[in-house]
Amino acid sequence: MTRYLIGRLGRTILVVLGLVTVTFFLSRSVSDPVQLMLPLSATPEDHARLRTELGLDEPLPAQFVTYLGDLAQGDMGVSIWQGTPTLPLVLERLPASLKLAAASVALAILVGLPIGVLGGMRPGSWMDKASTISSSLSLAVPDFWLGILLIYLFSVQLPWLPTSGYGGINFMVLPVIALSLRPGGRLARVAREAVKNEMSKPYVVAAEAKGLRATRLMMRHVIKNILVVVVTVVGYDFLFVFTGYAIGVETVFDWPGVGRLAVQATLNQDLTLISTIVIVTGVLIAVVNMLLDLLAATIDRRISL
Amino acid sequence: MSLTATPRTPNPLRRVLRGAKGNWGGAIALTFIIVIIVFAIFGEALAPHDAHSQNLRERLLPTAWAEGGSMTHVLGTDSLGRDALSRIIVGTRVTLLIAVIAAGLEAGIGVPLGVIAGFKSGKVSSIIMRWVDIQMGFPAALLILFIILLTGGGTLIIPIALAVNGWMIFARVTRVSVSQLRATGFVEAAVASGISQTRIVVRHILPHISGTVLTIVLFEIPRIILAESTLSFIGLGVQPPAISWGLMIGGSRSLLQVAFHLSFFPGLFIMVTVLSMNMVSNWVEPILDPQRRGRL
Amino acid sequence: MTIPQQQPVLSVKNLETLFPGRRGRVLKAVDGVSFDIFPGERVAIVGESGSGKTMTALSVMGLVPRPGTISHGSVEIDGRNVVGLPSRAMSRIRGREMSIVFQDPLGALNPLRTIGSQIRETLLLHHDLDSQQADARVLELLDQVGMADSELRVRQYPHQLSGGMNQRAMIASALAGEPKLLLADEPTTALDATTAAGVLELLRDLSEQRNMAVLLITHDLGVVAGFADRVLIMYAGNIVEQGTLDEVFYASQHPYTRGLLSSVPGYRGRTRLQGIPGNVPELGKIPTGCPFHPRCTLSQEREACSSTKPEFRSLSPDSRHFTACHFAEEIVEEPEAEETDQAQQGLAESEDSLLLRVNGLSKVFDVGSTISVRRRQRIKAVDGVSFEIRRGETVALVGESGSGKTTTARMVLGLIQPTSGDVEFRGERVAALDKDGLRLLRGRVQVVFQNSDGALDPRMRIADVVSEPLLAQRVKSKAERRSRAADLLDQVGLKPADLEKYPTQFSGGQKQRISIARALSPEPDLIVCDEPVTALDASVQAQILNLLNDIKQDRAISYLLIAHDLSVVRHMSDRVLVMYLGKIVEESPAATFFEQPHHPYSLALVSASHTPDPESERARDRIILSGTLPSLADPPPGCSFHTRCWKAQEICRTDEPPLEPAGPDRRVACHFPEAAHEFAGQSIGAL
Repeated sequence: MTRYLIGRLGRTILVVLGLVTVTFFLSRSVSDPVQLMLPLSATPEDHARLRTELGLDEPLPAQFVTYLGDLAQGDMGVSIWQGTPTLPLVLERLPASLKLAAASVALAILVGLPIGVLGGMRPGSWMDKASTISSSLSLAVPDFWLGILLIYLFSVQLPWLPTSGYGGINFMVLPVIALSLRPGGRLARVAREAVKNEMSKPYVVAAEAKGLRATRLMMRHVIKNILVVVVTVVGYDFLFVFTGYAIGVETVFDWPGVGRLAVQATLNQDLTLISTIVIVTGVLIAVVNMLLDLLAATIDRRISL
Repeated sequence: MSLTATPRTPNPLRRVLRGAKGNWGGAIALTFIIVIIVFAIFGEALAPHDAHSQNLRERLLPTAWAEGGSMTHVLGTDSLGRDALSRIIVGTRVTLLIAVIAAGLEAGIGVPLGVIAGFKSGKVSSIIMRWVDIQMGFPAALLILFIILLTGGGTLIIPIALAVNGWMIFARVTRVSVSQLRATGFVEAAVASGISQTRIVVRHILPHISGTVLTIVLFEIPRIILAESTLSFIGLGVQPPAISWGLMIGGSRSLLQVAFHLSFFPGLFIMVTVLSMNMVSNWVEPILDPQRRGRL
Repeated sequence: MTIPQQQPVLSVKNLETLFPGRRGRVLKAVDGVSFDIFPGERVAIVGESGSGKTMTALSVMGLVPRPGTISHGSVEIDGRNVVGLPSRAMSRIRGREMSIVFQDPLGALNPLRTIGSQIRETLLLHHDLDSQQADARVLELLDQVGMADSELRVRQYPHQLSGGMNQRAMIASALAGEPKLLLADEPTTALDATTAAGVLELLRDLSEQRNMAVLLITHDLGVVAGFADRVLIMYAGNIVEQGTLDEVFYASQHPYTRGLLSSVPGYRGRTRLQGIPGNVPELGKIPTGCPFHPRCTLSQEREACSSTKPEFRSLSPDSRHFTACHFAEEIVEEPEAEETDQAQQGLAESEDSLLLRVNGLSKVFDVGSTISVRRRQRIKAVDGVSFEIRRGETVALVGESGSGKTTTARMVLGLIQPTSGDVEFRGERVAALDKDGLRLLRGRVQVVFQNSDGALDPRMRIADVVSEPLLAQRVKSKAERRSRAADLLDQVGLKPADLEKYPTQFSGGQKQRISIARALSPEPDLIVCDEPVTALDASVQAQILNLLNDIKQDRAISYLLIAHDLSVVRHMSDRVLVMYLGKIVEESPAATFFEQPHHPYSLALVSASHTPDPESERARDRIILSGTLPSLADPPPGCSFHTRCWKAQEICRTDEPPLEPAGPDRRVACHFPEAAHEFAGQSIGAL
């Protein structure tokens, strides 16, 4: 077990290192940070001075080393746009994204999983057809558009809910619905497929041959076996929402999450901030992936770490 | 289960059409796709008005069936007086082109890498797949924003940025297919007979993976359409004066109370296009890829 | 064993199971089948693919997969008809009155639950026990099925156990409800020969101890000859013959049965296999009248055979030997086939005739993570193998899974590079060849794989498939390649018109012929045959084996044969090499190998194989090996076989026995190489 953790840690470091390297070299070579930071009126001398100040006249590899050193100390640069250190800016947005991610994934499981399982249990039945149709539909909806639709219906036409902003349950209802549709559809699809596959496996027939009745069969054997797949898919969707795929919905609802921050950073040409966001989310992804794999291996003993 | 099952009629087109008989949903979807493609090619000719011409006296007209609307502008006009329907029709081109180009680029990067990795198991293969694993751990959406920032963005950059972050699926799936094929009897017999590696790849491997690759392309295109729409909506994707559905929604966001239809219809088109493409892909997949190697 | 006065445990009457086919057709998987099974009887249903034997078993258990249905007939368990029972009631009968064991033990067990919990589940379904009693009973059951270390195994998962152990676990689960009838659908097909022998022995013992009837479904006539009391032969959904073991094997009254028996190598010591012309009919295309008539030599195109289905009848009033043939009376006892001394190619003694020499060939695989060194395992798949093949002889590599025979063959073919040792072809070291030399060599050594969908590229026309090796031999002219392809097809019994077709349009046997034609195209000296007939029906196997032998005679080609079926080996080979855990443990001429194997493992293998001859099966001594195959990553010290050998002494645990001559044309790797069969008769231990 420890062997596995160490190995995975190594993998994680590799990924993060890759990310850091790519973002660093891309940012330093493709564009000129100094230009972005100074107003148009700045003189060439100002440029040169700032450059030396920031150590940007050193050769790239040397800059990289300095950068890594700063990174290790938690210094990820200063936001060009906000003027404050980037790392705290990013970290303070995490809880908002986390809330959104957790809630929408929960809703997706609540609705999507039963639909998928029921469909897979009886392929070809009307339940199955309904399951397939609803999951196809939900996978096709652009989440930001749905958000706008929901705002129009429930905030503008019917003044039940606030149009945007951050806060308690009230503020969460619409964005969560908008965000949960695609994960829900995906989960329904995957669950249906998994259940259908498991039901035709020889051991299910063999279990029936032992004398096990249908519902008991399902509960004992099939559900556990599809759990791994479900956990994997849900985990990925959670990660996606958490790490920026929610830019559309966060923008529509003015939700102060990481995605929205990234959009603002881009609009404001804040390279440093964007780099930081990319790296932080990269780390999150790697860590969550590792946990997911651990979880999967606990459920399915065949998976060797 | 056979690795390379080929039904009696080798011609895929004929099989697809034969399948249409029992699948009316798929047939409707296919028709819609064809309409969309026609829009993309002949947009300007089919649109009732010039999509770019502004007419400030006809700003913010409602849809034909609402009060104050007319059949001249069936879906109303935007804040600059441009006809919404025409913009939707013409906007098909950019939306579709970006998706197709991006998907093509993804395949162009991923498939050759996958073939190499699958065919020559060893150091090279490990390095390639290791990199695929690493890059799959990158936050793709944010990296796209990063690239947009670096390059200044713009309509041309979008497909490249999307492709650079999405090619890995092609590499993964292709590698699996190729290494399975590599182990089949007929490939081993060819190797044992001294047939050159190039010939084996061209003659035995590529024909068997083309179906799988095409399937993934068909699934990628709608995904990319959604991604591009989101970017354009935010303002970081397609830039005016080019037209894209996402851009149209973004531009009408502030007019929610007054002209909801301007946000609604472009989005509806996105949804129906994506849905149709997914339905057609699902329908066509068992024919192109009987082993579900492209299963995502 | 059978006393017809008792009430049958199982009584099937006119059972019909249908499946809907394309375009409204109806496929009759089981077409009016009737039979009885009495308490304690061992009955075998024998048939090739598509015979309906598995579907019959599933119908009896009420497990016909959707969309099939039982449309007619009855299945009576202890007098009570269970067809059409609601699933609740049926599930009370399943596992209790009758159980079934399937072919693939790993697939039939839930991979995510321990085998103990799965056996327990069955127990608790049918008996009222408390937790402690249940646990104790599970252990008892495991002991009864011969599972060693039952306390350890109970907590393990299926993937942690070998195939044989999983099958025993399945049997334990099947016994939990104390059924009166056990169905076994190809229970040993997926297992190694020595493991299979153990499982069959177990089923025999259980049947006797518990007076439990066993219905064995199989395609293997050899297995039947050593197991069953009564035999039912099925063809295309019908039972065509039914009788006691001796009646069916020695006095068959149906042309199909006779044809089948004459197709199996080892039947009455015949050297030429008859085979049955044609192919088994597809489910939707079963001929009218007698389903067998198009392939029947007895029918002679008589009208009755093609118009009316024969009645299932016995030829004499008291006999319980039934047959479904219009002209069964005309079947005469065939004279013993003249022993045409199938002269194995005379082996020239001169050096000229040496074709292939393999010296100290070894292959080590590194399995596991490429990064973490600790998780890497070194597997010595092949360890110092040396042998020779001369012109015109067939050398067989025999062994079970993990023996290294497949890897060795692949090294001979050049598909895998050896870690050490070398291959010499006609005196030249292969490793020293330049690019051109290698290319020419590849033309000299060809391969025929096990028939499967992967053997021929489904997107290539036969003309291209067969002539592909010629491309490497620089035969540039397309016309020439084509004409040679046409020639070759003719030689393997196919038509020139077949050149334009695709592999999917051919049957299994025909595809194998195409593979052989492909192998012949560059005019090789040596063909490696890797399980060439394993995936084929018995009647077709005979055709292919005959073809291979004919080719060998006509062209003086040598074969390196890989086969696990010893009767095929016996039929085809001149010399036999036995491999165990990557090493050769014995090399003998085929003629003497089967009579007097010298290595204990060889003896176990020979003892585990079956011949379709009930008398010799009854008379033979069975040796059941104890223990399981050691892991290749961690082989035992000293003699790698000592952990399972009943002759093992102290020296066997420490010193590895070298492969040394033990007679004029024989080599054995054993410290005590006296004829091993002196120790025959000891059935030792459990698996």
